[in-house]
Amino acid sequence: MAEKKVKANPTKEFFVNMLVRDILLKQAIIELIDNSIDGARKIKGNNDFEGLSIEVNFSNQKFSIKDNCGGIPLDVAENYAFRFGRPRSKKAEEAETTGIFGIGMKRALFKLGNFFTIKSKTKTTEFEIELDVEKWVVDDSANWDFEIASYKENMNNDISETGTFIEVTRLHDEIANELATTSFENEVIEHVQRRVGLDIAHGLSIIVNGKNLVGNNVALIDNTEIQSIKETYEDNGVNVKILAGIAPREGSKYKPENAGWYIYCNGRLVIAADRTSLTTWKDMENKSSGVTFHNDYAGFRGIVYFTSKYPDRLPWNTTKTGLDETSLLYLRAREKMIEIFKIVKNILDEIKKNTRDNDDGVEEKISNMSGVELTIENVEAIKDNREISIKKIVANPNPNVTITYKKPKKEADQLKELLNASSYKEVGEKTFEYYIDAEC
Amino acid sequence: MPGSDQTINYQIRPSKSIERKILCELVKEIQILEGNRDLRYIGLGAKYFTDFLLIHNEFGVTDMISIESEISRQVRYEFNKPLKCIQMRYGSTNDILPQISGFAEKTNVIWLDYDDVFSEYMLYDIETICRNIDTGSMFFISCNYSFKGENQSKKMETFKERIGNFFDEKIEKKMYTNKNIPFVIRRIMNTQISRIIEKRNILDPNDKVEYLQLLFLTYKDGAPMLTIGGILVNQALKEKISKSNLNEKYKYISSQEDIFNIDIPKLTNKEIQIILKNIPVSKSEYETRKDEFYGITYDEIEKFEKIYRYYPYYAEGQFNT
Repeated sequence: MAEKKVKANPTKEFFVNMLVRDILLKQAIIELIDNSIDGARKIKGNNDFEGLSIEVNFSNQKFSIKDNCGGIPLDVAENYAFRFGRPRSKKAEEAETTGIFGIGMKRALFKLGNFFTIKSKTKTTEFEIELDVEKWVVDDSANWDFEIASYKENMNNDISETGTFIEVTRLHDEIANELATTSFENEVIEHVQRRVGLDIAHGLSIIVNGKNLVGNNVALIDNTEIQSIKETYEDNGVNVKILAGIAPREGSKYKPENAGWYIYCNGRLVIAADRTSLTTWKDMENKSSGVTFHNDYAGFRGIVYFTSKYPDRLPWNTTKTGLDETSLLYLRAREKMIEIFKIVKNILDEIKKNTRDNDDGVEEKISNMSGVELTIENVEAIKDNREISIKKIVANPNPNVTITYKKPKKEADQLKELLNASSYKEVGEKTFEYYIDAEC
Repeated sequence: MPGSDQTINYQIRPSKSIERKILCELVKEIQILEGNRDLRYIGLGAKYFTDFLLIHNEFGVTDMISIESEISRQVRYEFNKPLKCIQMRYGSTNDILPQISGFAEKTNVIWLDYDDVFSEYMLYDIETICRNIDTGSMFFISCNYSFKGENQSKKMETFKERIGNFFDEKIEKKMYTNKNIPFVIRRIMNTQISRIIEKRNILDPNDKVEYLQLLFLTYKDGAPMLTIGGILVNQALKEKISKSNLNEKYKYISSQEDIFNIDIPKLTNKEIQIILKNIPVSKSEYETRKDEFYGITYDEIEKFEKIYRYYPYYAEGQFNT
């Protein structure tokens, strides 16, 4: 009897139409920026990215990204960069990069449109690829390769000329519409400023539609009176640093929406301001431990840095924009985060209690403290520490307290006029000063 | 609220004294089984530091941390601190325990001798401890277990208020009597310990740990008090302990629900001497030689026999300063 087999091989449509549903447009753009930054990390091991830039431009007609971050070597293009999935033979990277699954760049390009061009130049090689996605899909043969339109080898290019240029045209309709809005542009900018803020702080210039991005990194108070809590350890080839503490005020108070945990994998922020049971908080999903977030904890910031030369060991999901919640490595870190959270929560509770019971200026003192922006160097400079105590805070010996009371509007208005005050607050202050002056 | 060190002189509480010596003996036995690892002691020294002195003198431990919540009386504690090697940490146990580092580097002996009745915050301390200590490390908590209320319903209510989220609806109301509350506490504590340990084992399958209860004591120290705790073990240490026959050797060791009650009979020194000269004595032997015991009951003899090795002998003396 002739042998029969069941077909189980994937189709091109699956990759082009299905996989793209798992990522948002914003994430697709991030993916391409991540690739450029990986290039930067490979050529500049020391994290000094001065002179390197990534330019992203988009409209309802086309999308492009251009960098001068070293380019893709021809052999990498031939053997790895465009493969669907990562061949088993690929080894650990020399730098802390993001490429793991061998899916990101293709998925991002398919998400955007139907025609793309890639030009890349390294010190010794150059190549150009053009792909008409619709034609490639229609070709039902087993051939999945992208044709290299042209290439050069054994070149002697100057490092400053190296880099990659990608352009996508024939954008999908819904993508074109979204790319044309300013709200989307703002969203991308804000997201990138947070996500790769560490790299921007190291001199990498990222320009989106002509706008120069500014890194947006978490800051913590770390001085002789209030220290950040820090724990460092290694777990299965992954370096883990957990920091937590009290943030400096943003203006006169805290923005509660910025409070919570921030988690980085190889320098990319994958979780921002988490206040759920994904980290250490109590919520509907997990009621067994921790506390529910409320505004008393608006000053809390916790930051976890996972770094490794084996990016596949990091606890991120396939889009690298979230956590793999089942990762044991992450769950082990979370146990430590829970204990560290308790330390900071307790001091925040104490500060609150102090303000309520005998407002001796501790909170006022803290509100004037500045923070340390958590760039890689600053994080390194903070020592491992678990101790923090309200006792170390030397408050102003003559602190200010807040007095509030309610009085009839008619009388208050009368005083307001008499005192020539512009607000009720001022009425309160002036009458207080008057009493001191007259009676004390 | 003033700590109990202001109302009770720790040095002359006989039950505490017995308890301390029992604990110390237990640590010594475990040390022998485990081999000589460095010890660290964490306790609530109050201003007498009696447990600290005992542990230091017995084992030469120099890594000692005393947690003291009364920050306002810091000067007094520093003055009374009897040994340079005791590190004072000011704050509640909930504040300080998570701030302590280096749990994995030594065998920790932690005795949290609380003044309070069993409460929620103690379970948070247990959480921190179980998450951090290494196998071979031991922890014990002592607390008051008299909950207000003239009947079971009222007692259950006070208990519920005290332990908040940890209240277990499955525990029947009839368990809330003075006699049975220690078992309720044990159950709730064990649930909390297992919750943390199970998680630890999932996250680190190569280093499976287990909790082994060693002590379950009750005694009266003004109020009814209990001490419960044990050790974290791995398979190897668990086997060593079970082969060692410690359970046989020391009647106070309890791995299950048997309570060892420290009940000190009121005896004069002369009575004590006659008992010591005659134990062990069986009930029938006692009955035949009853006259030789001058009215000391067999019950008193039995109670004394349980604790005589740890019994504190007080004498009045003059201490010139």
